[in-house]
Amino acid sequence: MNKKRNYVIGYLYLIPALVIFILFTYWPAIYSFYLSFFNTTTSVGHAIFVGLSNYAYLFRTGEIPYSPYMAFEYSLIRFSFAFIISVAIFGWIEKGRKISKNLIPLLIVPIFALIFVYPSLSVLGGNVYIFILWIIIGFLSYFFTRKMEFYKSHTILFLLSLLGLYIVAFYIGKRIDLYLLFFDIAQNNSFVMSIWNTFYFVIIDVPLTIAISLAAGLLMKNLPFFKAFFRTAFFAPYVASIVAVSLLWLWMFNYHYGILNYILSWFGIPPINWLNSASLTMPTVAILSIWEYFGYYGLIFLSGLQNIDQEYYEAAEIEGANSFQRFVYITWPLLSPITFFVIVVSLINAFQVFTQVYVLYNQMPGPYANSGLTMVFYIYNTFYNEQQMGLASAAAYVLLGIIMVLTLIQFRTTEKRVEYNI
Amino acid sequence: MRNKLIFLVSFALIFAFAIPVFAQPVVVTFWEGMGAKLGTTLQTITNLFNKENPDIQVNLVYLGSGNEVDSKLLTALAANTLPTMAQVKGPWAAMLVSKGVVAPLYEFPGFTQLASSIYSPLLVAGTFNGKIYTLPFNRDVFDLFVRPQMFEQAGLTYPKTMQEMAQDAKLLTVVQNGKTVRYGLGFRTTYRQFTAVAYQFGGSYISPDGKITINSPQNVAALTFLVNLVKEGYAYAKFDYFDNELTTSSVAMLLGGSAELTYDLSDIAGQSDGLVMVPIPSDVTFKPMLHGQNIAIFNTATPEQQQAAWKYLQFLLSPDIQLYWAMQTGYIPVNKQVADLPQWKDFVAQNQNGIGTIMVGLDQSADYAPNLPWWTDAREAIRTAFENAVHFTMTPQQALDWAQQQAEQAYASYNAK
Amino acid sequence: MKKPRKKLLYFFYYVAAVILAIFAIGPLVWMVDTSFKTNAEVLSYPPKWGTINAMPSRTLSAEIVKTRAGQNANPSSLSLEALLGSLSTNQQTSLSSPDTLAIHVLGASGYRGTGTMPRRGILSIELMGEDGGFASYSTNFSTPDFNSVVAKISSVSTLTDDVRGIMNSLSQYTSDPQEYILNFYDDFLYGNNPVFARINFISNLLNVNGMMKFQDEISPFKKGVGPLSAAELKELAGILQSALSTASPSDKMEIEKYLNDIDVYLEFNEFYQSQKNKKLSGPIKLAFIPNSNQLKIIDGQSIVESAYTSGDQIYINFKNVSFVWFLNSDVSLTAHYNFWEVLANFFDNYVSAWNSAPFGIYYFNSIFVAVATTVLNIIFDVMMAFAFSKLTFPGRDKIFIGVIATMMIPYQVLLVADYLIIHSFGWINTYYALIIPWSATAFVIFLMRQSFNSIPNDLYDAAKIDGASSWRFLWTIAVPLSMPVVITGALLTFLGSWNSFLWVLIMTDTTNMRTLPVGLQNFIIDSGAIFNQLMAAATFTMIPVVVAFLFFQKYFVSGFFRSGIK
Repeated sequence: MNKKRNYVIGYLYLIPALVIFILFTYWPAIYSFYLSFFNTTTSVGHAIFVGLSNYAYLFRTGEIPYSPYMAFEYSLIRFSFAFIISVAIFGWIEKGRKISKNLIPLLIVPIFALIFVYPSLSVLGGNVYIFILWIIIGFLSYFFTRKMEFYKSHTILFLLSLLGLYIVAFYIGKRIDLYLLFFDIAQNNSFVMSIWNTFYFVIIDVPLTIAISLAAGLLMKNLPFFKAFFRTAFFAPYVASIVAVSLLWLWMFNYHYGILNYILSWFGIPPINWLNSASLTMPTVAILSIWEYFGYYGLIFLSGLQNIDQEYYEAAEIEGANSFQRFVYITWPLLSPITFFVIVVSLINAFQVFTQVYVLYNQMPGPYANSGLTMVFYIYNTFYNEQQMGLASAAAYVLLGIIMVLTLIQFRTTEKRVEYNI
Repeated sequence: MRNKLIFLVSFALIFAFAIPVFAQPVVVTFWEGMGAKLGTTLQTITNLFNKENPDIQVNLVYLGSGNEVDSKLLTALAANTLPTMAQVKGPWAAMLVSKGVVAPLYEFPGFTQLASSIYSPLLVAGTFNGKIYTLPFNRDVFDLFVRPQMFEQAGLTYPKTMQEMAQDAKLLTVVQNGKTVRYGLGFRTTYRQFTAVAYQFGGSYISPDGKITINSPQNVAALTFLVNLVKEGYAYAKFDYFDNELTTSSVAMLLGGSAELTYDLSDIAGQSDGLVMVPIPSDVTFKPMLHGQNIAIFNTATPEQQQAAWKYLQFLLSPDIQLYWAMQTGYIPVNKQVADLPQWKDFVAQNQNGIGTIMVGLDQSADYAPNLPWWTDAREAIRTAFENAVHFTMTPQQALDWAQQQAEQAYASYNAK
Repeated sequence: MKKPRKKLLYFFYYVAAVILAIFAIGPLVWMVDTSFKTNAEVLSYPPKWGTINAMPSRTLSAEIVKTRAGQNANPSSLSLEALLGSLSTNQQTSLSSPDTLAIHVLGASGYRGTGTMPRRGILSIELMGEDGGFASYSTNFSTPDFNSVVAKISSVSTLTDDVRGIMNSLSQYTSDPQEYILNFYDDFLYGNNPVFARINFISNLLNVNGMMKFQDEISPFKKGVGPLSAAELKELAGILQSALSTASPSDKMEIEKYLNDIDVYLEFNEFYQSQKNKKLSGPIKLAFIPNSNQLKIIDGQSIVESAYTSGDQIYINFKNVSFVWFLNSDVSLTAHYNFWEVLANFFDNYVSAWNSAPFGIYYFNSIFVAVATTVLNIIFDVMMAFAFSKLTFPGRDKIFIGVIATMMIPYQVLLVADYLIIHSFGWINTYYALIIPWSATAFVIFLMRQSFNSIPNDLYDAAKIDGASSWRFLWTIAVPLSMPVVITGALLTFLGSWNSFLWVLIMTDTTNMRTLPVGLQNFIIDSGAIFNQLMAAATFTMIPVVVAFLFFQKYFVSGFFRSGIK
């Protein structure tokens, strides 16, 4: 009886916040999903069920030089080529360190692959057999090497090697690729363009933010004096509203009178037309975003650093480790849960970029050619200016999907290395 | 005695209740997007109206500049919360008329008289199926702004034709150490700026028989003309305003709307090497491009409100108020009688910025967009085409072909609905 | 060996920290600096620190209005009532007497038509003559001399058609020397289509037969600013003389006409200059009177009767002296300020930015919404976090995961549905729409739960045994113990609400419901791209949060550490 009463009390505590979450988060999430299957141009009351056609409209291809299937095929072959060769290279490195049982396939697979490399990359187009062959080789090499440790513990190096080999393969072969096709589609499809722009922004913004905020966190921890001053200074940008700081940077980026171009002129760099160049749109927005958020993430890093036990450092000092070694072998591994947290949060945050563009570009999606059209901008435009609730909901769900997938990948790749205790 | 008392008391009571009932003014809500000085001018005019008409209370609701009013009207249309009256652009008005929410102005008393006092080309934007639904209010015209001192120093007169303008742009461009420090011409990569130039090449978007002619040879010629100026380095194009280029004197001529003179160009116009407005050069028949908004009254309001709004609209468009409005804002005085007022003549004579140019060629003028409910999409396509051409990602012909195709699609999908 | 290395390391740390700190607060400092500048300083390159707004005096550029038209009051400077009055009486407004000198202060009208002249301090107006000293004027005008010179120039008959027309129309003023002088200069130099307008006059000259061979000598006169000066005209006359000697008889006539045009002007101009016999002894000093367009005369040089301003012009009425003597003068204008006026100048941008948009309403809305959101958040979040941490009931952890998962959904994804839901509640354009949906935050709940977890369960059990209810324990023991985290949560929600933009933009329609970020964005569109007022507005929108942060930052930082995000 008493227990039941306690249960009821527990739920009572939850009610206010839970009602708000249900009304304004869970229910809208369901309702948006529902709406994304309707055409609502006339009015919401008279919505017409259109099935998946909102999604189809978002990803309409328009006129393209070759089919998406073909582009996929080419990309996949390039990818498996890059993957096999990378695995082989890393396998050889690992072999150099210790004797591996998988030595034989490591020798065979790349040789086998190389025999096929050139002809298939340059000639192939729609040849199903070679296509299947490549997939099989890819799987095989993965299967043989999945127990290898080296490339798994050097993820970034491995990814770089993948990318490098992919580019090499791209220049050997025909100019057909998913990436190119995506770009072709983006010319006629503003939603695809917005995905492209958003990714571009995220790729510039997130790594730099993390690097700078980690540096800020380390500095805040290690400085003997004036800690509080630097902490306040680093955090100050975060306190200001995005509209106000976008306005401030609008002034700093000014082509004629902006202080940034003035500072560049000290180094003999000619003025940069920050705000009137399509290729600079996303970097410009990224500079502003990094400035705004690095202090906040730096503080989170700092709190993580404070929680690392000092004994490790003392032990390391006795061993004679220098500060770089201490960072690599103690700080970085022990900080990984915080790093993970910051990556996830900053990634989600970066995908929401909107206000900066809205203010910097005078309510327009970039100076021209939709170069500042981000996904949230697209949602805002379709919803607010065009009142297409269904289409906007579908776009929102694509955004949610992308964020979910990336977060899941994050979780999966770092699962084993991070102890994330909630 | 007692009867008398009862009579007096009841009389007093009736009076006490009746006064507030009778004195309750009709409230008119007017959604507008007039910022800064435009807003205060409109408020001054409205205050006077409210003072003169105690039975009517006009409330201005400022929704922010730009496209805010349009977006809000669309939302309000869906939610059935339209105001009594609002500022609307031509194609937007067409959309609202097609939804059947705009009160037909031609049915109001005294309409014919008011309409006949307005310049007829200005009425086009409010006409649908041969009937007038909305009346012009804040309308401006696209002109050429020139810097008089630069012309004097170069010994040039203001251009009359596009070829002269190209020639002047070339002569006024200044290059120092391989870097252009002054461009002959500046223009924004907006739909309006392109349209204003295209009209002077004889271009149009819809042929008389109703076909879409965005990629007509005249339009292509206009676009090629502008793109070539940019390519040769005599013109500077960007999406944003030109405030800084004017203060640094890094452009000599600028395409723009007349209302900008008192608004975003006013700080330059007040300088000694200021700014003079001259008619936009033209190669064929001079056809100034009109831009700006009309006023619509919505039939979702009560009949009393509609009548009150109509009275207010008549007041706004009366010659005296139009005189004040035009002098303060640089918009065209839509009422023909204003041009004959001595105060207007005095104003034009004293103004060194060539404000009189706004009245030049009004009879041949044309609107910036056809009155079509789907034109918003076509407009976006033309802007994108303009941007792409000016930034050399497409040739002028390709760009306008693409815009033509987009417009045809927009038309088809509108018809399908 | 080891110590110096460590010192070197710290040196690098500090260099890095200082660079990062400059990166972080440099822009903010620049923002505040810009907010105190004048328009002209904002638009100058290279940028400078500091501003003349802090200076006790400054020079304004100005020019004398030289045309006849400028002597009539500009109808656009009238108020609506005054304009309607002048329309109904059918009378043209003439604000100024014929003895009024009008001075146009350049750049005094602010941007986007909202600014006015700096209406404070003392104006010191120096009227300068052509010789570089103070301007001269005439006290004993010789009418006989005037008559003789007019007779002389009127008798010249070989003139171009333009000038002959002018001389004919001028003849009506022979009895009124002042009008004559004014109209003379209007027609020849300063008016609407003056005779000596550079390009026209030279082009006309080149069209004359026989002048083409002098093209090289004449064409350079085309380039220059303003009408042809007396010196230039003398030079031109010399060229024409030599042309006359070589020209064929038929061309001679035409060239002579132009030569005479110049002579007529030079003759009269000489007379005009010769009549000036008295020099001003110093600048004219005028002071602004608050809330009035009249100017107080401090030093009138015994010729100023009254003065007033209208729009960006200063009008000076003279007594016993005609203003025409100053037509050819240059003017330089200096304004002087006392301490309080300097202070007023210094904060001018803040005052005008505040007044040019309803920032008062925005401020109230922002504060009200942010405080309400924060208070609700603290109550609701603390309750939920406490339940997750210390109470037991079925499904607790599942619900917790469910709440935490919402952190991964960007609110923009839910914007459409939220809008429709709030619309169906009838909450659009109300405070409810801005407050209620934000009154619980998953991240804050997460932080608080971490903090409550660190409170030993024994403490809770002991309190229960003492008969305290869970509610009482929560507010009297648990919350005070986790104060830093509560303050961190409060600050985060306050910041979030204060800085929220897209939500407010969409959920509200009208000015009286909007908060500072949206108001600021509207102000950006309205005021254009000159940045001093914009920076002032940006600064005062930040002040409350900056103060709140500085005040609470100790708790804030420790709150972060205590939360133990691991």
